[in-house]
Amino acid sequence: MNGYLSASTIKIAMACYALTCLVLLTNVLWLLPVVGLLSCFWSYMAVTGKWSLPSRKILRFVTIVAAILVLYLGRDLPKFELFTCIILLGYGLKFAELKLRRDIEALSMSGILLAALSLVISSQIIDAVFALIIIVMHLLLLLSLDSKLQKLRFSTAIKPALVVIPLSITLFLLLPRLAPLWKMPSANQAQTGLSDEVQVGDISELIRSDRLAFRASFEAPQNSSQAWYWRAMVMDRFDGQRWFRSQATQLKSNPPRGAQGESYQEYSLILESNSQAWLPSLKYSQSTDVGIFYRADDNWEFESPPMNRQQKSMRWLGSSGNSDISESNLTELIDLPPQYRVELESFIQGFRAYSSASQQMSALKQWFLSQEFGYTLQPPAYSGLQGFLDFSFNQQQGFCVHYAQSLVVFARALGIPSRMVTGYLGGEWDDNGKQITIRDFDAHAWVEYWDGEHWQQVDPTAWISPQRVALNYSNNPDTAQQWQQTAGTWNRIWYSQSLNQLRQGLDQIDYWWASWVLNFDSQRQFDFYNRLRTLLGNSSLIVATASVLALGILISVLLWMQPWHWRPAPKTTRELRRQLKRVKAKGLIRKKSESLQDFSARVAKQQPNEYAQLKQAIHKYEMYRYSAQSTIDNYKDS
Amino acid sequence: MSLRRRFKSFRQMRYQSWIERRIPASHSIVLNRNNLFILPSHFGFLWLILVILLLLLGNNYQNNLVSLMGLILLSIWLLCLVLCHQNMSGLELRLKQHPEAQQGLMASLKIAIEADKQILPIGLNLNLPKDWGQTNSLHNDDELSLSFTAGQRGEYLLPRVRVWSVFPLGLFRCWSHLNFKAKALFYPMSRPSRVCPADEAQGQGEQSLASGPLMDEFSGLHAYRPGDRLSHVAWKQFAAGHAMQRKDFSSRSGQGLILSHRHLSHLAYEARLEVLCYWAQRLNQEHKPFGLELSHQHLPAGHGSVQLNLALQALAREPRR
Repeated sequence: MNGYLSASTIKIAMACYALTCLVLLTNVLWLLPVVGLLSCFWSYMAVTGKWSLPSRKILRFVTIVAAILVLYLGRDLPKFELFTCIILLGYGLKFAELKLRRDIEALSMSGILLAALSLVISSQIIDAVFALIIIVMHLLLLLSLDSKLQKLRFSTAIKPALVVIPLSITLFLLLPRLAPLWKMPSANQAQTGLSDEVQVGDISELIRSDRLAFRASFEAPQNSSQAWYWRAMVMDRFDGQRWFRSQATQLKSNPPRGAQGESYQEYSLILESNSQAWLPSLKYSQSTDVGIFYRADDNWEFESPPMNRQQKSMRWLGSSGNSDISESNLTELIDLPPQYRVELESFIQGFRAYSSASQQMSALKQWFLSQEFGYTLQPPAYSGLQGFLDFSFNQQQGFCVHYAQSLVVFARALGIPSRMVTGYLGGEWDDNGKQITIRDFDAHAWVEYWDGEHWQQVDPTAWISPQRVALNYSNNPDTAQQWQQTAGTWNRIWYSQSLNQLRQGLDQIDYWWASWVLNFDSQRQFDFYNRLRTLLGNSSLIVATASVLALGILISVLLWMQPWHWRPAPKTTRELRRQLKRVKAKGLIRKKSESLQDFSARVAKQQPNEYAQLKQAIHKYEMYRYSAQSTIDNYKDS
Repeated sequence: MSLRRRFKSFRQMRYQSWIERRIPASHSIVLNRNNLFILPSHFGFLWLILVILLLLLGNNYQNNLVSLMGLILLSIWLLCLVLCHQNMSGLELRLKQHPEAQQGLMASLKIAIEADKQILPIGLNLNLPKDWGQTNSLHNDDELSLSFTAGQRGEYLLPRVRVWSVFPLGLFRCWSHLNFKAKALFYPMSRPSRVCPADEAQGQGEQSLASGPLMDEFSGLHAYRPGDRLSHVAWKQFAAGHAMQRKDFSSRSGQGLILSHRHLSHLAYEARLEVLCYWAQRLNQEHKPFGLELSHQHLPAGHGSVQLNLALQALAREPRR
């Protein structure tokens, strides 16, 4: 137990390394698995006795060279990933000096740490499962140092595992949730999602991705056939090529006010980590949660980009909400590059006749409907002014961003303050109509214009392809075919109608995971204890805490002792014990090596009047224990 | 003596007297809460550091999963405390035999383990002087053994044995310092010599004054037993078609030979003992009675393995010069 390592231990260590590498593969440099594999190979040759392990000098040299290479190759990586790479490098190189127990111990520590780092990078259920497997593998590795794993029975291993679960859950409930003690380097590379700049064609990239963007859940069932517009950002600046946000839209502003007595809907958002600050919300939402603020463009934003899943509770005021906008901003919202104005002048003339903004907009709608616009997910690249004119008047094949861009440009040319809004449209409702799942492919763009009093929302896509608005891409007969061409085979199968049930079930689990495990923050912890306190008859927080702890320990102890497996001794055994105790009180103690018969003979000699009862008890016991009938019973018992 | 060393020896002394009271010496002992100690091992402390690291990481990234992982590791740590102690407690350890070996060879301390459960690996360590060597302990089902060598021949009272286990994951070390009152006997190496340095034993306690090597006389044939010296096989009879037989010799008197150091005065004292040791073993192998005469001890003639053991003990115990 304190000598050299056995070959089986080293093989398990290699399996541990392979799994850890596999989990982190997409986040680390390609060099690391290569170094690790070479190191493992050397170790394998040493185990089989063909080579000897490298000398200290060589190993030190290789370590330094590999570390420099990693630092060089990973110079552009975020600090967090670089840190992960360095640990993985050490983990891999350790195989080349695997000799003693403490090497295995170091190995398992780094493996477990890497599992934790993988959870920082991504904390989906599947990641948690992988991390758990990594931990279990490393525990087995440590166990293999002292015992042969082949001898280890599953039933003996399951008992400690059963004890660990309630204990860790109790500690999890008790652990104080503090604010971050210091700022850590960000774990996520910016992932694709809505960006704060839009160029025509951008969103078609997103449509290929089925990454979960966010979820929302409502208290009451909602009408799923309604069009749900989730605002994320407002693009109010256009330089002829791309749309972006002005400084003014990013200023903090007062949250919208609801009209007196109007009803509102509570909903909560669960956002995936994407290292972006915007928060998708329904138009005119209030929130009292901390860490987010309301912007001048009627959207919510995080004060700093979140690093993991976030849950925020919102209150949707519906159209009854209202917000302020200053006149100076309005003048900026009719800004257009001069060439556009020049080129559009003749087209615009016809619309000038209408007096109000809303009339002009409905005239534009009529124009759109009269033209032969078509919806396609694979439009040609329309770039710049030429592209714009080409799309609007010649080809007329595109999707949401193209329509929205055309409409905003036309409106601005007419002098109507207008802006492009990006966000998401629709999503997938669960059967109860309470929860909606929105993925990247639900990304959408539409238009808002100022009619003099309010912001009016118009969606040119709805004019051209009403189906897109009613259904999502995969289920929409118009776009399904196109979507299938652009999406991968797996997505085609996964988002088919027949798998709806399964998909919703998984979404439900993921939702539960997000709200109870990932977002069990101080607020939720506080709520939990408050509920517990009322349950315990308004007891103090200390009592509630102590009872959680006591319950956890009690469950662990019960699982350990397993009292439901206890069986009372048979009647004859109890009687014999009673007799022996009685005789013992008289000063006759049965020796360890003394048989019952010998002892009873001794009792007969020394205390004849105690003998009869003892004799009978022994006889009954032996009859029970050794007769043919009881043997069968015994088998049954065991 | 420096103050530090003095303090160290003082502490050592205090510890010795404390442990003598706490775990009295005995040939067999049952491990329980009173005589087991348990503390996290190095790795156990590192594990705790890892737990703290994970909790910090979980807190700073506001990542509950990492915190949960840290707490699972903490639970495992706590569980190991119980498992490690449970593995050791209830075991009955018994000294199987006093270790014995020729000087320069390995003597093995064997301790029997009695338990009513499956026991998982246990280690054994002796706190031996520096010039002694010891191997790693072996744990076979119900026996713990440890081999060691001594620097010089002699009979030694073994120091306290450290019995330890880190069983489940190496996070904790549960140990006990036990005194089995074991005596290690290292008898002299055997130095072959052609001439038997012996006198003929004459009666009780007497010895002949006639000095010089004595030749044995042929005393008859006996059935051959495997292990007998091939040089004593009666090859002539065997060749004639009889069964394999062994020629027996007996010394001239039935009393046996008294091996004496006085016949070897040309050798150094230790060397004399080595020669005596060789002859004691050889005579025993030849099933001849023998006795031993040393400067401080005297062993009357006898035979069998008991006699050999007595002789070897006497040789080992002989004071050094």
